[in-house]
Parts: sequence; C-alpha cells; structure tokens
Amino acid sequence: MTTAPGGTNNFKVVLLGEGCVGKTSLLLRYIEDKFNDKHLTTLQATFLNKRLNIKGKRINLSIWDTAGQEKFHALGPIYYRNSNGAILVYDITDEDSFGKVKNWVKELKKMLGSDIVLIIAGNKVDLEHERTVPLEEAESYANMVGAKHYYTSAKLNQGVEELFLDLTREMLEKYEQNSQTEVNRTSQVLVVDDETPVQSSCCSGTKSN
Amino acid sequence: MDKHSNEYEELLQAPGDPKCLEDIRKDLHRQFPYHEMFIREEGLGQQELFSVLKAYSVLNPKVGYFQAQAPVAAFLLMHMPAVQAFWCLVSISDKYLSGYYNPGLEVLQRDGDILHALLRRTAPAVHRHLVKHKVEPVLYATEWFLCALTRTLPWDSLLRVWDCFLCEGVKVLFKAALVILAGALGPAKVRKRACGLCETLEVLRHPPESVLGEEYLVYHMQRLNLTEEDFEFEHQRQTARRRAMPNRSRSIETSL
Repeated sequence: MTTAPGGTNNFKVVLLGEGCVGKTSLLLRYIEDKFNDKHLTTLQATFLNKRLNIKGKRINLSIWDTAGQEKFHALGPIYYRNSNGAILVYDITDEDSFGKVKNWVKELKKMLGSDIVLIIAGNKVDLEHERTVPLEEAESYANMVGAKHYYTSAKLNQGVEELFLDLTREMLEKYEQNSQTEVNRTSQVLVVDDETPVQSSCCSGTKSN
Repeated sequence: MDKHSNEYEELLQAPGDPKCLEDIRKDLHRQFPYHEMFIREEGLGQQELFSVLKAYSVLNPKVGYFQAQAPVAAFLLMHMPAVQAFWCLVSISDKYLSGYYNPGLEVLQRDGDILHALLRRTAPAVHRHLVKHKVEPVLYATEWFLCALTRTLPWDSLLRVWDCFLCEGVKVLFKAALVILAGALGPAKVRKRACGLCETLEVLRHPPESVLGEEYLVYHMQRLNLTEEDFEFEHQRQTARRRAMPNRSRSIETSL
C-alpha cells in the first residue's frame, strides 16, 4: 500500500440487513439529510460517496447500499469484498431482522476476519413502543462480537451522523495501525517489491491522491 | 386462462406462506409510489398487487415471492385486470425469465456473463472499459434483467420494448441492455471521465435520456447485428463455462 502525503483515504463501507429495515433510508439521511417513505425497494446495490475531514485527514467514503431479501444473498460477496467497514442494520420492531444481523456477522467474520470494522444499527427507534428486540440482548451481542451498537432513526434523524462518524474514525485507526505494522515489518525485513502497486479506485480500500 | 378460470380466486383463498406474505406486505408501498394507482397506502392498486403476488407465491412455492416481481406485477396491473396480470406474471416468471427468481441467482449471473460476452462483439471499446475497471454485469444489469427494464426506461420506450419482449422473449432485454451500454459509454470522452468502477456505475445508473428514448433505443436494437445463433452460441458457452467452474465462487473475473 502506498502512502501519499496529503492524499485522501478511500474507505469502502457496505450496508447489510434484512429487507425493509431502513438501509436506504439511513444512507439517504446521512448523505442528503432527507427522509422519504416513498422510495423504491432496493434491488440492485448502489453506492453513494461522502467526503469528510477527520483529524485533518481527508476521507472519502464509498457507501454501498444492498438489497435485503434473502434471495439476494448469493450476490453478497460481490459487495462486501474489500470493505473496510460494514453496517449491519436491523429493525428494532422485527426480531427476524436481528437474527439476520447475526448471520451477516458470522459470514463477514468468516470471509474477512478482523480486517473489517463492524457496526450494528438498531433502526426505527421512533417506533420504540413497538420494540421487540430487547435492548440488552442487542447490546450484549454486539459487545460479544466486537461490534459497536447504535440506535438510529432515519426518520427523526437520530444517531445517524454519529454512527457514520464513529465508523470512519475506527476505520481510520485500523488503517493507521495496519500501515504502522507494515512500516515496522518492512524496516526489519528486506522486501523485494516485484509486485506493481494495485491501482486504486474509489471503491477499494487503498490510499490514493 | 379459460381452462383455469377459477384458479386465481382459489389461490387467493389459500393461507399462503406467512414469511412470503410478510415480505410482500413490506414492499407494497415501494412500487411506483408516485403512480396514481399505487400512491395510496392500502388503496386498490396496492391491494391488487398484494393479491397477484400472493397468488403467485401459492402457485409456485419454490420461488415464493421475489422482490423483483413486484415492479413487474405493478406494471402489469397498470394495463389489465388483476386476474390477467396474475397470469402474465406467471408466464413472465416461469417462461420469459425462467430461473431468474430462483434461489442462488445463478441464471441472472449467467445471463450477465452472456451480456458481457455479447458486448465484446457489439461494442468492443465499452467492453474493454468495463473489464479494465472490473465492472461486473451484476453491478449494473441486475435491475435491468430482474425487473425487465420496468424501472429503467421512460414510459414510451418501456411500452415499445415490452411489446417486443412479449413477442420475442428475453433476448429483447439483452438487446436493449447492449444499446444502453453502448449509448452511455460509447463516447470516448465519457469513458475517459468515468475512470473507475464507481464513476462507470454512476454513468450506467443514469444513462442519458437520449439513449433511453423510444426512437433511438428501438432503432439501435434492430441494428445490433446479432443473430439467433450468436445468442445460442454464447448461451451454450457461458452455461458450459459456469458448469466447469470448480467451486461456487463463480465470478466473472475468471473469464476476463
């Protein structure tokens, strides 16, 4: 991985979760600060970009929004590969959707190990009175798998900005740790670099100008 | 339809799979939400949409309900009574787009590969661009295929293309897709600007209006110069290729 001073960090983030839990709405709230209950079901994954500054570093997030229905599961790897972060969304009024989060956590851990920052989002807290997923259960599960847990409402604009900001901070930390170990490693070992650096695109997790 | 005159009603009487019905209900307000038929929550349009999708899920429990069927069913309901829309949906799901809605999405992925291979013949420069930036067909053509372009084309074009689609079958979707790809990414300056995966997908997500216009689209679909044999050849080739893949990670990358 090449470092470019003053460059932009590109991070890829993927939104996963059961259908109709609010993945698209969370993204729409974050990017455009809008809520629209008349949007279409997401069938084809799409992405949106967001630029932000953290600790003086320029960061570009490419956030992928995916289709939720189980039948699309086979396409999952296409979207989560090379992701730096994943937001696993469930609907606090829908227990099955929380079960789906657990499945995604298992799959991501298996396929990507600990390279990916995981966030679990209990969405639709505006429907608190209809909650069926117990608070403690969700939080202790998140704790157990090393994921941060957030409560969000795309409708009321609660918790959304914080979620993305914290996720970005964590991804940045992880990236800096990794490049630090990289530096330590290369300073001790003579590395014959016969591989040309991978050309970075805005969706890969590499650093570019 | 005459042979099965009461079947639609009978299917509606069945209890249906609760998970399917729940999935259908979640999607009713998310199809053409600004169309007058579907704008009202629980309105007649949404009720009929529920019925048509439910009846299909009872008739074909192997597929049950697939989210991409909803826009197709909604589009059909705009043109005909519910019972006819239902039988059209059956025909489209089980014959025209046979296998598209099956678990695993294998057929969709295969057809994506076929599209990609045909593009190499019809628009080599565009094909090279997609390969270079690793733009896989499922990233841009999923909705085109699964919804038979109902969410992609403006009204006039959609009606024209669907006339052809109902006469000639799924090949028409391939042809339209090839024209859209060539139209959107044909100009060298567009490809130069779209210098990455995301940028390219952005272009394909919103192809220029002129490319999607009825006259342009239909005219260029007829001029594609692809024969039945070309389709058949690629179909056989991609089917064989996928079958020969040792593991389940059937990604296009291996063919590039």
